[in-house]
Amino acid sequence: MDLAKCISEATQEIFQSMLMTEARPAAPLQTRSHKFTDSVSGLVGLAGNYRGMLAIHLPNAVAMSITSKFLFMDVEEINDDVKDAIGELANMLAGSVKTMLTDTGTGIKLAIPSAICGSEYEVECLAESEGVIMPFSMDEGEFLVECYLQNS
Amino acid sequence: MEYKDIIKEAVIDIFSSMVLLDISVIEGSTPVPMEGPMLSSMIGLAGDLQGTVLIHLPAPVAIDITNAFLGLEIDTVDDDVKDAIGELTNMVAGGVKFLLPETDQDIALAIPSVVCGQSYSCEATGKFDRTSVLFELGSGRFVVEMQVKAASSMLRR
Repeated sequence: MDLAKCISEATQEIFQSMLMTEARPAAPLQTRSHKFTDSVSGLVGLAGNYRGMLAIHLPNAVAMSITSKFLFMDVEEINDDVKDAIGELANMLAGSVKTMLTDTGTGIKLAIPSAICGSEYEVECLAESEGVIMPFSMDEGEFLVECYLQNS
Repeated sequence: MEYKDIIKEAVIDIFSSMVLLDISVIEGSTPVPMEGPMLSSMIGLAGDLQGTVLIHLPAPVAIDITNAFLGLEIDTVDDDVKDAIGELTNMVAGGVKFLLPETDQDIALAIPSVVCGQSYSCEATGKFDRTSVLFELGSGRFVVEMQVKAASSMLRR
């Protein structure tokens, strides 16, 4: 199954079931801006038969809205709740991509999720191959899910 | 060996054999948040041990390491610096994996990612245990961390 399709399906499914929100996918991007401003990123490493990384990058407003839906409470700043929610979202996405890529889900193992946030930062994955970058939109704004995979 | 000693041995070994810079460990000092432009490089550990190995460096220290490592004379953070620091993280994680006590543990490495900017935070989410070691070079100090999924949640895995 191709990676862009996996990411698209996994993201729509998780947003539908966990957040009761529609994440509308657009066509995969060839490149993305290096810099993220006032954003939150969730990252999870993938290891085993493949090595890689899955990340979700969201503007602060989208990250807070998702966290509010996730935790059923209002969130008005980027705090530990938001970081934990976005880390957990990256973890769930990586988990479903892993299952879609390997029949049994055993060939790939997940590391633990991390969250990055700040007023201006760059995130770059040092993979040998090009990553798949998928843009999504929801009512509160747009976000990206990207995944890099290479053979071990 | 404890995680702290594993980090020290892995890092000192790489600096004395590959980077060729004098390095010392700053004992008994809690790392303080860094100021100014900096880099954080991270790589995931998966399998019997789940976690992340991270290196946090002020930009001048990252540049100094890159120049020593690659024999260059760079003065700004560019792709070479990101690549060199990512590769350093990969090597440190490989050294940590090699030095971990239970050699029958099945641990696989992900690929390194590099974060850079002025004021950002970058750390694991959920419950995790952190081990940090502060190192010093001529150009400044940097931190190497292991963030490992907390033992209680390992049992529920």
